[in-house]
Amino acid sequence: MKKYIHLLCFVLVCGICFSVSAQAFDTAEGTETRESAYFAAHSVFLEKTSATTFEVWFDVIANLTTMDELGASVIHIYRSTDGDTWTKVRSYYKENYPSMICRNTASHSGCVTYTGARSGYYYRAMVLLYAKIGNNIGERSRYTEIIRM
Amino acid sequence: MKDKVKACPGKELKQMATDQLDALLQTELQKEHPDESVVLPILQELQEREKDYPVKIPEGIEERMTGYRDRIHTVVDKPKRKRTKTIRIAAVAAVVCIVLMAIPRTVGAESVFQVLHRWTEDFFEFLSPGGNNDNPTVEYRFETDNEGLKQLHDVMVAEGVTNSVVPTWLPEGYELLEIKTEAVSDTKKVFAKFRNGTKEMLVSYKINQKHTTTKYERGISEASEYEINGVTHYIIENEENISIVWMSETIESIIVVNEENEIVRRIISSIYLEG
Amino acid sequence: MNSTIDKTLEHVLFLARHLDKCNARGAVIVMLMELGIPTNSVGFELILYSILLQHRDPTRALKSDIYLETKLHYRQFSEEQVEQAIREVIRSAWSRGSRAAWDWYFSYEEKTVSRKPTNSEFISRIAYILELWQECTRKEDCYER
Repeated sequence: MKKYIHLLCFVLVCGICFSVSAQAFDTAEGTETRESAYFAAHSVFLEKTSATTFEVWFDVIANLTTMDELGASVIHIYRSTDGDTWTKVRSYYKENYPSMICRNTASHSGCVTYTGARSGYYYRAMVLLYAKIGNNIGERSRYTEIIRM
Repeated sequence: MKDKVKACPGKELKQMATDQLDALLQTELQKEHPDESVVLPILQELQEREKDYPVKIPEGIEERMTGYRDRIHTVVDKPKRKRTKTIRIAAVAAVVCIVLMAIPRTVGAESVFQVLHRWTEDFFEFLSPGGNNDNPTVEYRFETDNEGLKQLHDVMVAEGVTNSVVPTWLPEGYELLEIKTEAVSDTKKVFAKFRNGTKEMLVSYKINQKHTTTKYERGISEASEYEINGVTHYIIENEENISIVWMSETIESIIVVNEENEIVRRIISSIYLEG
Repeated sequence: MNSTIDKTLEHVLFLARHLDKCNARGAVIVMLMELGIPTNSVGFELILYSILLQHRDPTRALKSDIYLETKLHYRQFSEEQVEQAIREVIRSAWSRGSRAAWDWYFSYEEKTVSRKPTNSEFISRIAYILELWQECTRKEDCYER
């Protein structure tokens, strides 16, 4: 019985969120909106630059609105020996890497460089794309492909 | 010894010295999956012993724990709200019924199952680089009255682009606000923003695009295709706006605009002015 | 027994006396067992891993970091499943665990715990208690036999 109640509550919350946002998207501040309201297109990938370094690139285009802030808020680098079990080895935050965010723009691309990659290991990255306009924030997490160094 | 602990935990444990119990505990905890039927009775026995023979705790220990008073979090003693089960079920059921009837109409779908199915597919993406141009021998000319489009075309030519990718027509009033070129790894990206009163239009070209990792956000509708001169353009509705995306050889192009479908198709068609 | 010391610290000292040769994982396992978290459940491993992550770096945020990394470590789960599994084990431990154990870990200044903690409260509290345990096991004058 409890599971049914939880399921009903979940559907209820989803329904309220989507119906409210569909009606009030243009006017209300802080209304919950889907990530597609902030982004039109985005791309993330890894680029090997040497035997021990690679770059994590992101490129994001806003959905027809100039954003107060646009870019990536967090980038996590993961490493694995077998491609199955992953360990986080490095994180980049926008507060420490200002080039991850651009202000008053509808398009931004950038990269962070990871050095000290180990030969034979697999690497991938998670990029948390970020857009802010007024008090509203949109985020979208994207994973890159896996590369082997 | 561990089997004996499990079989008659109380009796065996009482006969063991505290150090032995500690050792047994450590050994069990070093396993990958420690057994709680071994661990918990040992802890219980140790606590019983300390009740009988209390251990002296040094004075001022709290002060010596770094920032203990500040850092220990409180689980606040909030009064529990009284709810009856029946009222809760009835209220939830009533609201869910109303919402389930309202959602499809609000978003223009026929039923709630249709809505959920569309929302699970959020992206459109190309699966391989390289475009589709069935007419490589046709040459297109570039002729436009829009100064912004001329500038954009000049930038593309300066980057070595000979393909026709820049529209030659926009609805009246669109002016170029900004144009920038940036490197995205070994790809060049040319980005332009146009404005027409309150409306804006974004144009982005990625030249020598090798990475097919771009995802285009889309709303509840499927992407529609518009093929012209052998090139398939995908028209994607995203919220109130329309994204037009296509691949032309190694140029990945996107135009984001807030216009009617007819105008969108006219913009696309204007790219291919035969010379 | 020192009557001025609070229950949590008293229990941490008890654990430090008897688990001083344990590693952090063993100590957390004991805490979770005492709280009544079922050891054969999937959520047990997830919550154990999350607590150890939080303990290693207390500045991490739960959703963008801990759940994400736990999900990557245990590949078959999504972040939502990780959160749900952790919430489920806390809920089942709250109903089956002993009140005394919950008081040891979650009470403060003689107030007994009266509501189930949220995921973040649970994880951050146990991670901090683990930190206290580690501090105690390194200091010789934390306890006297």
